[in-house]
Amino acid sequence: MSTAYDLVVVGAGPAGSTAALVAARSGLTVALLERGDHPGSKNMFGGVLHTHSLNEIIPRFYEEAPLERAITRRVINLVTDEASLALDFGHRKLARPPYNAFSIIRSRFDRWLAGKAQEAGALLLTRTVAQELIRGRSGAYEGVVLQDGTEIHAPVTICADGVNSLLAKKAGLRPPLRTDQLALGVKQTLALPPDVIEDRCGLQAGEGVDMIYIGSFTRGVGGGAFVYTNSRTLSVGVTLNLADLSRSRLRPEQVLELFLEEPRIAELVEGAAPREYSAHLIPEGGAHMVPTLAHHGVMLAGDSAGFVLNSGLNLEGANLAITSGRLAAETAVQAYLDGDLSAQSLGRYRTALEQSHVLADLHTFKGAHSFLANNRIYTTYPQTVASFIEEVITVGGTPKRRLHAIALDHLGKVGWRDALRDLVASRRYI
Amino acid sequence: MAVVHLVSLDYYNIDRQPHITVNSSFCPTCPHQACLVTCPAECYTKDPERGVQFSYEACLECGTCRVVCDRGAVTWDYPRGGFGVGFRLA
Ligand SMILES: Cc1cc2nc3c(=O)[nH]c(=O)nc-3n(C[C@H](O)[C@H](O)[C@H](O)COP(=O)(O)OP(=O)(O)OC[C@H]3O[C@@H](n4cnc5c(N)ncnc54)[C@H](O)[C@@H]3O)c2cc1C
Ligand code: SF4
Ligand code: SF4
Repeated sequence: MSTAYDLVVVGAGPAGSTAALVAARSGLTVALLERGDHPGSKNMFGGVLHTHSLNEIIPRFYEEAPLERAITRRVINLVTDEASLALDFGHRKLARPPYNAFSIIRSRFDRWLAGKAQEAGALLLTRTVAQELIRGRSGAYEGVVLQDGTEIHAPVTICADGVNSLLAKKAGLRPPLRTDQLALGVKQTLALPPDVIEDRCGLQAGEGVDMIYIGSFTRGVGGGAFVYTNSRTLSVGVTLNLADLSRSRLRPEQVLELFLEEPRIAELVEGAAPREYSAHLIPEGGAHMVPTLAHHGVMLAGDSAGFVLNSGLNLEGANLAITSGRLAAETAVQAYLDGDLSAQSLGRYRTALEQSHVLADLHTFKGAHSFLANNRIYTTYPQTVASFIEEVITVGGTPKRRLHAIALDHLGKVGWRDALRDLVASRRYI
Repeated sequence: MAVVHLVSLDYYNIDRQPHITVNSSFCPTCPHQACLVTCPAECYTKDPERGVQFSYEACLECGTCRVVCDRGAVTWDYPRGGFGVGFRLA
């Protein structure tokens, strides 16, 4: 085995495998390192993959990739202790190419995507843990040392090693993670026959739904819950702000249990067999937690760079990982053509990200994180909206009030000052 | 479902050497003991003498304890290549 490459990519998640694929296609020699048994075996997410980013790299990838269901409906639910309210959006367009999103199972999908990088010529090394970046005397990074001491040399390294990114942390390329900028996701995968899933969720054969829930079951902890339909399983989980969770003294699987006990959810999962339990962190600081992205010989991509967009209603990370992996690889290829691998040359990676959806969207939603830290979103407002609607639709034989009178009354209960402040903040941030 | 039952659903290839070690001398005086409540695999449990008892076997490798422990008690690494948890349906 040769231990010198043009590029070494650490981590065969969506960011790393995309980077390896794009660089190998352009003729660079690439080593792709993955600590798991196979790519995907260490990975979990919600989740759904939005198609646009990968479709640019592998046109019509959905014809060959291992996907679960095309997401044709999106449901946003507000839940209080006694009431629930859903906004249910469906569009036939979502069921047709190029689609919008698919549910996927990472263990299968990541393996397939890494296989595409291999087909393009990248060397995939599994069960291989990169321990540290190698720094040369000139200050440039020159590859990585593996756990067993083997050195893999390369003039360019892409750290696509996920949210914990020990590589970037050890080299001081990223400040320590903060609990207020992280969410802990825990999930149960529950098995049900495909026709039962379709029946209970009101779906056509092969189609899927993406359901998110905000409300009282998190007991004021910032975050929410999700249900995604896979072919033969449901992914049911909660994402919880880690600072809030630590303070609340609630355990994460307890919050998930509270969610599973919600009457609607209990009906949905009735008789389903739990098949797997998983947990993972989500970098949620948005633009505020993005570190310096390029150094002499190193770039950070995907979660290791904090590229997750949580606007409150959408959680996107896999697509940002894919685009950032592609842009990092394209930057490396261009740097080789120019014969200049300096920090400045690789710094063009940031400009490319700014021109793409990755940093553009993180910038647009840069206030979302602090807005979503407001716990009225999880407790007071779902309650307010539910009681408003309850009054509107309940027929009780007493004289009715006009809608705006009801609305003013319910908003007044929140406290006008808070309600106004939150309204202004929501316009500014979301 | 209790955590023991949840993690029993998962597939592990457990190494003989732990990938995380905890210096529990910090724990009795730790004001928050946040590891006890946040670790999704309940690898941290209350110990009458040492404050906290740690076992690595059921670890889901999420990194939560690495971040919530602000006292430097947790030495955190990945398991050796191929060891640890392996998700199939996540
Ligand atoms: C609960 C939850 C729900 C989510 N839902 C969604 C969703 O619905 N849609 C969406 O788009 N995103 C979602 N995300 C976010 C998304 O999962 C991530 O943003 C995405 O996986 C990031 O990809 P990545 O390639 O950067 O990192 P990862 O997917 O974490 O991949 C990193 C890879 O590097 C490997 N690795 C790490 N360190 C080393 C090392 N030292 N040596 C060798 N290998 C190493 C790991 O084993 C892993 O394979 C969710 C996340 C969570 C936790
Ligand atoms: S958070 Fe750290 S110091 Fe505190 S109890 Fe846990 S391991 Fe010990
Ligand atoms: S990494 Fe996660 S699962 Fe493992 S011990 Fe720490 S908190 Fe628990």
